[in-house]
Amino acid sequence: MKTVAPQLDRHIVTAVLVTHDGARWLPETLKALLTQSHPVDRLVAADTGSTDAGPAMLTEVVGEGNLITLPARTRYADAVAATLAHPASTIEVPDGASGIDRVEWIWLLHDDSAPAPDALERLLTTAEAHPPATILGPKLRDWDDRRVLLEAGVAIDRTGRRETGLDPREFDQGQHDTIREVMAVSSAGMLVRRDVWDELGGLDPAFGLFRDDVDLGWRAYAAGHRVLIAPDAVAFHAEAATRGARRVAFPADDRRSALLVLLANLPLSALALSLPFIVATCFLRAAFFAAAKRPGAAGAELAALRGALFRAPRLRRARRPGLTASGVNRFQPRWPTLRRLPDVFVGRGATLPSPEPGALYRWLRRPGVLMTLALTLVALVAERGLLATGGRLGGGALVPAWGGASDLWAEYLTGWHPVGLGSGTGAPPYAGVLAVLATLLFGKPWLAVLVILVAGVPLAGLTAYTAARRLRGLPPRTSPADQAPTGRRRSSVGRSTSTRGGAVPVAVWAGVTYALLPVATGAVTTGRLGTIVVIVLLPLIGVFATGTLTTSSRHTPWAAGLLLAVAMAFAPLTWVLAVLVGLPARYALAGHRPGAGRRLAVALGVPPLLLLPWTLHLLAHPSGFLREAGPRAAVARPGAGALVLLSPGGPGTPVFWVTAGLAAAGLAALLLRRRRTAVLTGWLLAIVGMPAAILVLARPDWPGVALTFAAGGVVLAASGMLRVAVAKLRSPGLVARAGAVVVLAVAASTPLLAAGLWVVHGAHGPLARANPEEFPLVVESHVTRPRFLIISSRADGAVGATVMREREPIPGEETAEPPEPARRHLRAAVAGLTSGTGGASALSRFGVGYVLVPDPGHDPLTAALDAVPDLQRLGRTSAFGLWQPVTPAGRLMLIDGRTVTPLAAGPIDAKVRIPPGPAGRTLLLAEPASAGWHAAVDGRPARSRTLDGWAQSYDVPASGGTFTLHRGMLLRHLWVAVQGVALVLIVVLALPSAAWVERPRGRRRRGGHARTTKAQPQVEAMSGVES
Amino acid sequence: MASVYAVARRVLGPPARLAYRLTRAAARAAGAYAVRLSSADTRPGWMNRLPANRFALAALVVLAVAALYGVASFARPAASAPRHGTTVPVTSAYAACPDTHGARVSAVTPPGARGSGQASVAGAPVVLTTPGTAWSDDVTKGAGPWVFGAQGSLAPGLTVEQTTSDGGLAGTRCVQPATDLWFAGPGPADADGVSLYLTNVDDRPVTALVTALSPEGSIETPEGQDEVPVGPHSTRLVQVGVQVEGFGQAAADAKLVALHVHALTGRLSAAVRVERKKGADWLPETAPSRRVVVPGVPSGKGRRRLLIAVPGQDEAKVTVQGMARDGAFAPTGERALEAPALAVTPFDLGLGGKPAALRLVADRPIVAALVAEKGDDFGVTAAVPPLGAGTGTGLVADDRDTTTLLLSAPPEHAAAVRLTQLMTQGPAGTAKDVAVPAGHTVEVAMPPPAGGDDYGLVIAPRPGSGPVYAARLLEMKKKGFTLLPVPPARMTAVLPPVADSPVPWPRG
Repeated sequence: MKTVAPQLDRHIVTAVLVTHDGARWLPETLKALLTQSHPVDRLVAADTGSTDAGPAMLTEVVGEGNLITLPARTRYADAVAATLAHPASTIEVPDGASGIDRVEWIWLLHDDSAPAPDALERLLTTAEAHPPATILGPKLRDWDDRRVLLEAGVAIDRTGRRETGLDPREFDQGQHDTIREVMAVSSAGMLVRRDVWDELGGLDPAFGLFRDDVDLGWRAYAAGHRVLIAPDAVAFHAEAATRGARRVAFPADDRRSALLVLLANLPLSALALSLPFIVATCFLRAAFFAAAKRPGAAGAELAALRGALFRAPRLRRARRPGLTASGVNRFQPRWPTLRRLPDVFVGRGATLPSPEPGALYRWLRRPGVLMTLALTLVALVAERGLLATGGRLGGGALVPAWGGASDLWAEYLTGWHPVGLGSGTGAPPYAGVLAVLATLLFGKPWLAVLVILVAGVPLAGLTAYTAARRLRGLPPRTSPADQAPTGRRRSSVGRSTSTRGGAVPVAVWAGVTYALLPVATGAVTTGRLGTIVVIVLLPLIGVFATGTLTTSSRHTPWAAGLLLAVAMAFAPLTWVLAVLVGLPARYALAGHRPGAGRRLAVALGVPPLLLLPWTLHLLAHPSGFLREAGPRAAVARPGAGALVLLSPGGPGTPVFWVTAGLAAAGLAALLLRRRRTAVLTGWLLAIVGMPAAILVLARPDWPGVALTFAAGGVVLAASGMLRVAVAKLRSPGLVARAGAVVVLAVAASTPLLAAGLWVVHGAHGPLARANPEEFPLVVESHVTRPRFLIISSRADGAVGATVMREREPIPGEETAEPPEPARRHLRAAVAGLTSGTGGASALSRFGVGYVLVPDPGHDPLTAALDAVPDLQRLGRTSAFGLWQPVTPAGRLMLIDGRTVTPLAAGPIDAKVRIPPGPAGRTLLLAEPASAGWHAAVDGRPARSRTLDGWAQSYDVPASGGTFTLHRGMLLRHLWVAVQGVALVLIVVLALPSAAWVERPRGRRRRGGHARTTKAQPQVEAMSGVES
Repeated sequence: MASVYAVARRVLGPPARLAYRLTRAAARAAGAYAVRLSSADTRPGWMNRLPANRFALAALVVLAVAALYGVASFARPAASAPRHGTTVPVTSAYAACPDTHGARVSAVTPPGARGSGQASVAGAPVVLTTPGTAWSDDVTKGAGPWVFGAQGSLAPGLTVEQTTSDGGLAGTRCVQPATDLWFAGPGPADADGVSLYLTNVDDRPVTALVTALSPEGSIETPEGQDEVPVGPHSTRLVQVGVQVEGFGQAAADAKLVALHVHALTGRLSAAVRVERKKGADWLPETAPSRRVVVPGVPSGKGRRRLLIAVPGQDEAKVTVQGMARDGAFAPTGERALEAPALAVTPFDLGLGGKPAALRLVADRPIVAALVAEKGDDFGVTAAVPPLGAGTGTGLVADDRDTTTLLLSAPPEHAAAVRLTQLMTQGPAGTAKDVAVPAGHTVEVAMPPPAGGDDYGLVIAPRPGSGPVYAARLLEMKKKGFTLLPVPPARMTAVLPPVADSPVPWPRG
């Protein structure tokens, strides 16, 4: 046996083998162990409750009675300790060569790790050459594919991530073959000097199955030892426990162990820095798992953190004198996650090194990107007038977005809108969506509005392009998981075969045509945010709805419902039309597919339920379904021809025959033999949308959403025709080719003409820069809060009246209409004022302290107001005329007979001292009476009455006292809280399923060999791999 | 709480359960039918054949689109249909009589208004108690202005007149407060005195802006001097051509004058009295318009001088049409009168002593009045809106046995009116129906009802009648005569439609 170098003779090696259900690998492991070129001097083996043939095999080797049998729940560290405590491990080795400087070693082996025949010899050689090294480890390669490098030293970063410094499935070509110090080596094949082992106390059983080796390495460095990788020594490792190839009897909590390594070993100063970071990372990871719909993994992550935090103090107490990071922090990689980020993106798309230029260039060359950029350019040029205003836009159907995102949030959350005469109607949900958008855009609502106006057209093009690529032919040929993420587009390389030829050009045509529809340019020009949002979202809703009906994917109904809810928030008619289209489509597309009805019910049921308090308001006022975000503005009167050609008329819409090419292609598509489903679905949309548009317009209201449905349907139908025409371009027949060219030319005329006309004419409409000085609301007192009555003569002969408080209304507040009695009384007062039959004193009962007429030079109301006896003119400029009623007014008024005294009041609540006075005084709160007001005088509830048929008022005792007013908003806040929770749940449900999250990371997916093993539930995909 | 729940459950439970079952049954039936239709095997045969034939389907779609085209052209919204206001009876009326010294003050309200009301005047224990009665009083002492106030049912149509016979019979309607009032008549150079009475009936001071036109052009005053403040509840007398507020010397040479009183803030009443050597009269209030009719040209000899004032910056071309006892005629022939801008211009018309009304059609707004001289007195009449089935009833408060009504109908349409006399107790005598042929002027003299020679008169157009222009001629021996054009009484006010919204209606 003396075939090895004589200097190695002084090394006495005790091999420690622990087995657990490892009969599959054990024969090879034993063979490798027993045929080492440097034989082990002692072999001690332990079995932890194996139920297979493993113990029998071992007994054959070590002899009857020498196998240490341990219970199944024994941890590896305990098993090793028990083994080393066995007398066999210290049995005297008869050797006489060098008795004095002989060195005792322990060689740890797993039952699934087979060392190469010369592994021990090379380890010892290395140890001989590097005397300070007391822990050495071999290079680990894969058991099955023996070229693949698994590990050559291991480290742990500051977040507890295992770091091997290797790429996934890196082949071992000797590229890591340098003997170097590492943070730790795997316990599979680890060679430890026995005295050091004893000094360190061996592996710590607190770690369970994983990371005890890293902990050992850390402690070795802390004690002044060195850990070395000996890459010329090789072991083959099956990583059986990590890959789930065998069951372990106790929770193999890798993540907890990793965190515990950090928490137990970091010195206090470093720990103080790292702990918040570690905790934050854990919560981030848990959130990621939750978003990937893996609640189990999220819970395990938090449980790991909890476990590590609980266990760390005991370990730290035991190790207190030796805590240091100075020896190991050079091994800890900095920001490994960030450094790996490029791999995540590049690694997914490009499996092979590509000779093509850089990633950005490749991205820019995608047709969808090019189309979106072109549309952006068109939109920027056409909307030059809007951009030139450089800020807050108003006019048309757009309320200027004054204030910041916090104002929008406050508006959405409040239970009482201090706007106009006051309203308790909940804010429309689009204000909440706008608030989210404004928060993302640096808290600037006007920027959110501008972005919607400018980006609406390019985004509509992008979504329509995406939808056209996804839907292709209905039903889709793609798997449900592939449909999930909206931003992902697969490379079209290899798909442009003859049968699928033309998919990309047709999708580009569909995108451009859809984005530049008359209804889109008209909506942008008149500031109809609702229609723009619906135009952008409708293609995606269509994609997900198709997925809902034609696949059994779990997340598509929720995604469709979520997007539909956003669209409904801006334009509730979307939901009505979706129901009208969805029910027939369910039978046309899904047939008897099981569960289709249930999934459709989810998609159609989410929007009204998610927007709930507002949905009830809509049902109570069904005409609200025809309105969309923003105030009711003037609507154009398109001719019947224009309407049938999908144009809403008015500013921003081109001459109506621009869409004739689109309509012709759509009609021609009806004659196709193929693509019937797409064509018929498209015409179903059109046949539902057009009558709806006519109905809406007859009210009259803006028919944007209905026309979007109709136009989207026609585009869908026409793209079927175009696909056939593109295919026919390659047909041998001259007639067919000519016909295809004609069809393509006719269809292409629509987007080209629309883009050209829009660019030439620009977006000239009612939108203009909002003038912050339009209404001089600053003259008003913030103590008594008198209001402004703004009246103007409208084109239809009516007098427009708006009560304004200290600030101008913001988007969403246009629906804050007071109850009908209040409105009726206000209208009567204004009619009396402007006709000269009533005076201005009636106004003060509404808290109106000022009357303002914009543009007084051209408004006949100026003369009418000048003639009112009890109205005093304060001033007049070219922009406005201002009057003041003689009777004082404020939000809160003390009425004593004919004497009216305004009192101090807050915007909603109030607290004011009322002096003693005669009995029978009344406190008039110029807000609509409702049960939501809680008032008290000196703590006793005040007697509430309704004054003038609408206003809230209270009896004032003769003794006076402190009057307090409070508005209860608990119900609204509860609603919003429930809504927020529901929204988060639905977002989680709408996200693609876990499979998508794991797949791109699975290192085995792209490998040549297929493993059928399932991932162990407790082992996270993101953490490292260890046996 | 629990008992409420139990009661609610007992009461609401059965119908809720029934509704749920019915809904469920209906949903099931609908679902079953939809499933039947969805399968090619079970749906009716024609439905199977239909979508299969692509030409039939294309034809169906084209048909549907054509139908939509038809529906769309019918359902097109009207071009922003104008919104009409609501008409309500006025509930408050004021009439300011400028100077009641030695005058007979008469008031009348038309019958028909319901509800309670009250009318009063400062300094007199008046007055009217119920709608449809007349009242009059000869004021012997207590000169000065009287302000009538009427509320409730007495406010609609309140008409008050004062008639003085001092220096020539002169009657005027006590003017209701307004913001713009126009007068045209002889100027200071052609009169002994031109007095402008400005009355403020409200609680706050009013500033009046008085501007004047003369035959030579606009009368200029130093800056700021044309503004006349009038205190609350007071009357201010301005001598035109004498006082600074009355343009001083600048107006002293004007033989004719057109006065415009504009209330800068608030509203006021105004009246103008002209005294000449031969007679006196109050100038009737009028307003500029492109088409005006001056009723009440009296019969008999004497000069008939038409005054046309053009307030605008451009010369006006005016065609004149007469309506006389024997039909329409053209007093100026085919010639159009040319009235210079910013001036008041006289035109002496040869009307041949016929009672008439003059219709003036101009290419820009004009103010028209007519000065008639007869004997030793003169009278002034001016353009007023017509009475008519749609526009309203005329009221004359001061009628005596010598009252003559001049009723004129334009050439396009004949008119018919019913005249009713009102006394203190209410309607008296018999109503008299008068037909006015198209283009004619009819003189009507009514005998006073039994019980006095002092009555009020209601001129009510008959249903279907065209517009009719009325004026009252009152003659008294040795005292002269006075003319009073009769505008429609202010019975109603139009409340404009009001659209309220939480955000201002976008302009433009």
